[in-house]
Amino acid sequence: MKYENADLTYLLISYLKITDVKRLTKLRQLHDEIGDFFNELPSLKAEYEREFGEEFTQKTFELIENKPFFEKELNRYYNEGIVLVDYDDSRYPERLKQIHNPPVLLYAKGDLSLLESENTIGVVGPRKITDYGINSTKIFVEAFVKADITVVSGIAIGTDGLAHRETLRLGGKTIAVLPCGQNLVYPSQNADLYRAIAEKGLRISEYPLDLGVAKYTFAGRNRIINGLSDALFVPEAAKGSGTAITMSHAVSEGNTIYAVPGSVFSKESELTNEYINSGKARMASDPDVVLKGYGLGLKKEIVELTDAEMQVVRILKGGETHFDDLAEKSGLSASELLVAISAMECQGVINSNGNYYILNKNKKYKGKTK
Amino acid sequence: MLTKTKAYALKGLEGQAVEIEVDLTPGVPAMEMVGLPDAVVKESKDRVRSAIINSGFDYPIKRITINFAPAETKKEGAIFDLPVAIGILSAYDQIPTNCQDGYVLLGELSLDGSLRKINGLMAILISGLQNGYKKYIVPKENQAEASFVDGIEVYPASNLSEVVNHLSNVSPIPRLETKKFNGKNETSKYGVDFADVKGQLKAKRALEIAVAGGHNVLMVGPPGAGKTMLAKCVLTIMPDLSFEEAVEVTKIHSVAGVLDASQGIVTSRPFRSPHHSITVPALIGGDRRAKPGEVSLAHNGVLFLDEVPEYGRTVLDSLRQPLEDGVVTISRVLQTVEYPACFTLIGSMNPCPCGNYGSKNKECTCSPSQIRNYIGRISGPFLDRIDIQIEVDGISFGEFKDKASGEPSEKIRERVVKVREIERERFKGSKTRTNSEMTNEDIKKYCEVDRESQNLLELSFAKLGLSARAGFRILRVARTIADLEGSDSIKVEHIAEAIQYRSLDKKYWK
Ligand SMILES: Nc1ncnc2c1ncn2[C@@H]1O[C@H](COP(=O)(O)OP(=O)(O)O)[C@@H](O)[C@H]1O
Ligand SMILES: [Mg+2]
Ligand SMILES: [Zn+2]
Repeated sequence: MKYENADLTYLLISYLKITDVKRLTKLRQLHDEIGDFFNELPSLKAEYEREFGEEFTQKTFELIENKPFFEKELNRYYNEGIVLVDYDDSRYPERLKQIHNPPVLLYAKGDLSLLESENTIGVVGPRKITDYGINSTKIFVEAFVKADITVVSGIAIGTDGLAHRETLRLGGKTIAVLPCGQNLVYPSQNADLYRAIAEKGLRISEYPLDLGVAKYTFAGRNRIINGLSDALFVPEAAKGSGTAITMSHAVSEGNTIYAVPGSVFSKESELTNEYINSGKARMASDPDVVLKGYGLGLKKEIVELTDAEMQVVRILKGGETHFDDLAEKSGLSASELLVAISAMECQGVINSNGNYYILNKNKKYKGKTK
Repeated sequence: MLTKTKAYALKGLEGQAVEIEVDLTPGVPAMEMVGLPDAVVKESKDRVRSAIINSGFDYPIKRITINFAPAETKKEGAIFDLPVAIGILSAYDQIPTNCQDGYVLLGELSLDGSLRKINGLMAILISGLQNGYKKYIVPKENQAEASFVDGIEVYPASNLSEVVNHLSNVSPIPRLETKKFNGKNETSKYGVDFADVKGQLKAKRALEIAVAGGHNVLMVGPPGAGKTMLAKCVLTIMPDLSFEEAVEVTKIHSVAGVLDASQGIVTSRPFRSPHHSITVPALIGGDRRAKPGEVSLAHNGVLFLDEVPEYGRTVLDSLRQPLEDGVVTISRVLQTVEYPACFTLIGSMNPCPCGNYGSKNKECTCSPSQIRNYIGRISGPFLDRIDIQIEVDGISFGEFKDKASGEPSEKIRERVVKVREIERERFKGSKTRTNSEMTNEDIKKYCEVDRESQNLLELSFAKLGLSARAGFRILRVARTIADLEGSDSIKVEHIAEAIQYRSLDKKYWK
């Protein structure tokens, strides 16, 4: 069996469930060469007992008795194409080390270079997302992709899935942080997304291969999303929701939150609006606002449109508009309007929300020269 | 002595000639019917006996043997009451010998001798006409229905005595005059008009296309959005009912016993809206005695399913045959019958169990999995047959009060009729009748698209997440849009518009 000594060590350490970075640092300091852990340990018994107490020491010594088990286990990860990225690994993201309890070991599958992304943003929001949430997520994600910001999310249904899918569709970079081991798929509806991200993005988990979801694994995942992200983008959040917990966690970690302002009638925007009001979140009224926060700008793509389409754009500049009003204001027939809408949807100029239409502000529009 | 009397039986929508032989022999008084099920015999025996006696005739104190030929025809009792009674009276010399020759006798008797309405008369008369039978005696209650069959002599009677007096030439019944059919579609028939529907321009356009090309429609929207109102308006823009179509519909309605007897013929297209608690036999047919179901009652008209996900899964799946073939086949122990079932399906549904998902000002209280399961109930074979899916949103009353009223239905109907004519010409001599019925072969032939359209289709598959299966649906609808514009070829703008009628494909997130 072939393996990296450091991998074996960290696999064992992960079984010790050290959640405290100070403790981990101490443990590493006791050893000359962490990869030689198994050989060094017997001579370090006294130091271990002094530093960590008897119980921990005993547990550690019991574990190294099982070296063959860990070797076998490790090979299962290798066979699945999973890379172990430990706290000491040069690829371990610096930003993740800044949180209070960074994971000791990450199991990663996919494009590892994404761990070294220059800019990252976490997208979090409800599983049940409204059309408004869908449309705002779409235009913001589009801007993130264009600015080469890596989109980090939790591969849940709703907002997470949408953020990953849109990023992949637009050819952007995305990291999915799993709430379970790499051998599992949760939720099952996103099985295709699990595959796609392993191929075109990166899947990260801090849990052993076969560990299923539990309440604590969701919390753990959200903490990593926070840690991997330079800021959080929140399209919608209701009070008392899962997103609410992630947001308050982000505040306590000192992470920046960009929240999309929403309707006074919508429960799904209650918390985002409140965060904006209390100054806990910045108002993401436009993708530009977020990009400026990253010190980035967007070179707006210029799209050429027909006369009819330009008319629609002019009306939509005034805000979201119903189909009937669009027809009335533009003087186009239902049929002509539908034709224009199809063409504009395909070019990503507008998005629909039922029979309401919204302009994509990430682009510039001008009439076709004849 | 032995007499023979002509009667008719029904098998599905076909009439079958039956000959009834009556023989009187000395012996213990009794009536024996050969070739009929027991229950039917028992009822019929009692009715015929009472009717004869109560009409003032003598009932033979003899052994009566009655034979129905051919034996394999499945007969349902009541329709034979009149010919059996006349056969007995003739055999017993109460009326001139063989005076019933040349007549087909139809009717159920009540105990006092009066004639009761029968079901399926139109179907019987048309079969009789085709088989060369000329003269018919029918219950007076059925006379309106009979008056629309040309080329035969019909004598309507109210009771057994009138029949006897007619046959023995004592007091002949005047021959029934035929009536002229008027199947003109008039909006005033329905009490609704597209002009009353404010706004909803997209839905109206979609329904115009649907009726023009015979496409099935699914409307999604919250309660009160106007889905039912729009569905009811569909009839107002359908083409006039032709006489042939009216006869098809009338036959079915008459067999099912739901024909308005005073009208005698169906003059407007049917609109059937069975409740979601309906059973498969009641929807498809075969409920009792292989009766036609709702899908056949909707033939040449509209089948409206309100709140589609509420219908049982097996109920929705059972629509596959009628939606695909335009007919239903019902198999029963002794017979298999076929009924036509060509209808435009209009379905409506809420976007979620509470109805408010996607609403601007009302809160949806459903969980994501509830919403998914709700939509999931209508997937599969059913959704495959829906060409047009649209969202109908709930605009608040204040908003639509000042919205412009629309074009009157009559105007829209004119355009629809033109397209129907184009379709008739296009599919002459083929089984296909409308654009929505086009087979893959037809599509190859009539739905050629240029490079630009092809690109748009591919782009929309990728961008809007449309399935390849949606592609054929889009082409059929695009054909109708082109026809509405009077264009021979399908242009890129026709495809572009058709893409907009696939809202369910792109809407629901994972
Ligand atoms: N666009 C509209 N124009 C005029 N009246 C409307 C419109 N939409 C809805 N209504 C009114 O609201 C009532 C409820 O509509 P209905 O068709 O029953 O809604 P749904 O079937 O979607 O629940 C209708 O009877 C009609 O009077
Ligand atoms: Mg309704
Ligand atoms: Zn709901």
